[in-house]
Amino acid sequence: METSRPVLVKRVPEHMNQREAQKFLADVRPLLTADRPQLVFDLSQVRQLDVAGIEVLMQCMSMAMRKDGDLKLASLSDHAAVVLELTRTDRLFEIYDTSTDAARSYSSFLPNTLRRQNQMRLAA
Amino acid sequence: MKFVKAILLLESGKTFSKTTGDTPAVLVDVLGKNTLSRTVENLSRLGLGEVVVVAEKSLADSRLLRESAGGSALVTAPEDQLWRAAEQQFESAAEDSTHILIVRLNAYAELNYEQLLEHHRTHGNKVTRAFAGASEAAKPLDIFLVNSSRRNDAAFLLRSEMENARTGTPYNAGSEEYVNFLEHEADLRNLASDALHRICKMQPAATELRPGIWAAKDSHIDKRARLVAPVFIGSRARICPGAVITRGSSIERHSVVGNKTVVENGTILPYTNLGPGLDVSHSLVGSRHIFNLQRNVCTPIQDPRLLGLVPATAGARTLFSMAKLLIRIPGQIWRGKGAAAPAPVAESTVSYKEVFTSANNPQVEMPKAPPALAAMRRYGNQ
Repeated sequence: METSRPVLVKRVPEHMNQREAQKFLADVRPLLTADRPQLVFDLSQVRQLDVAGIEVLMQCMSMAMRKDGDLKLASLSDHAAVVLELTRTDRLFEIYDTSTDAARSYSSFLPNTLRRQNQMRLAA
Repeated sequence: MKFVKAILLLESGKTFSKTTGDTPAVLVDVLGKNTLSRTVENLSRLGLGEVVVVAEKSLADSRLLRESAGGSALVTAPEDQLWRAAEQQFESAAEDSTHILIVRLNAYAELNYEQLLEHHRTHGNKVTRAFAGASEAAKPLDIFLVNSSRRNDAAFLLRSEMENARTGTPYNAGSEEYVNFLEHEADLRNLASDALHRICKMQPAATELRPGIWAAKDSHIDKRARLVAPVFIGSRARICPGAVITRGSSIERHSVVGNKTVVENGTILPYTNLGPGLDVSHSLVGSRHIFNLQRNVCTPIQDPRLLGLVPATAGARTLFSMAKLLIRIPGQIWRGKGAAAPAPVAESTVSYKEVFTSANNPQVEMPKAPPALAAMRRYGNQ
């Protein structure tokens, strides 16, 4: 399960609106076109995330998947977490508490660092 | 542990709601194998002298039980004679063993049996019962370790159907041991989730393709499907394009997840066909029923386009897929003859405004294909 390919961590800008999202996509596009890209987006600084921002995240994930790679999210700010849950796009991503955990998760499964939202213990 | 033998008792009757049909809880697959199969494996791995499964006749006749019993000896008990049969098995097993482990299989338990034996010896018990949980709120398990020489105690235990026993100091399972009582659908879901999140030692019966993504080698996962770790895809399960399997979900053997269907924190039981475009969250799905764990409601689904059954036998499955193919071929030919423009799909990136405006422009002569060349595919998606 060990991998020698690099894991790239990219910090998502504070405002992920239409303009910023397109700029961000242009920045990360070269990373996503590589063979089997392994990316982590750090969303700790995100204060504004709108539909355009979500679409860019989805587009990045789709591009990574097409190249047999993956995209994981880390350090979600409260705002980002709320918007992702609201749009139900949070379930499309593996979400980790820190970027280090997310990067390490590419080489081994780290269940304790995985964010388990809505994973409530369902009592009988 | 060579001089310890185990007797596993399997009663019919304890089933969940309609999602699992008549199958007892311990015979329902969780991550590719059922509780009986896993218990037999765990006990065999310990190097026990012998593992005997005593099952009621109605259960023992089923193929599922015979397959699950694996490396153990299967004993069929006549109707209402399970406890009598267990007593007979105890007597025959007692001849060449020091201790006998008697387990009524109604829960999934990962106990440290060596520690249980040590506890039994240290406290000088004749019969030791295992408990789960902290000492104040400990819940009794139907797991007893009995000295082979104490035939009367064993008879007393078995004749009272494990209601009464002359037990010594009880054994409390430690924090590193795991017990799931399998009393409710939620327990089945929690067991799968706990195993995938490595809370218990249960290993999915599959290969770890990527960290946290377990899939059987003969499963069919479309490249356009999204699997978010941890998930389990069972043997011969099929995940169609655009489907999303996420948050500790398990898709058991021979199940099908339709196009663009999302399964989130759910268990799809064996031989279930989930239709396209559904959103299945916090649910247990099987036998044309869906059990929502948050609402605690079991709902029957009659429409086969939403929820259907995959035939359980290989022959029936082949016939079913052949019939589907035969139905599809005339439709494909008809569509080919009509040569109508393909219907626009939601994801299409084509600007239909441009297409309509270009239709008004004078037609451009297209180069003619050589007459020997047959047009096999008029459109990419046909």
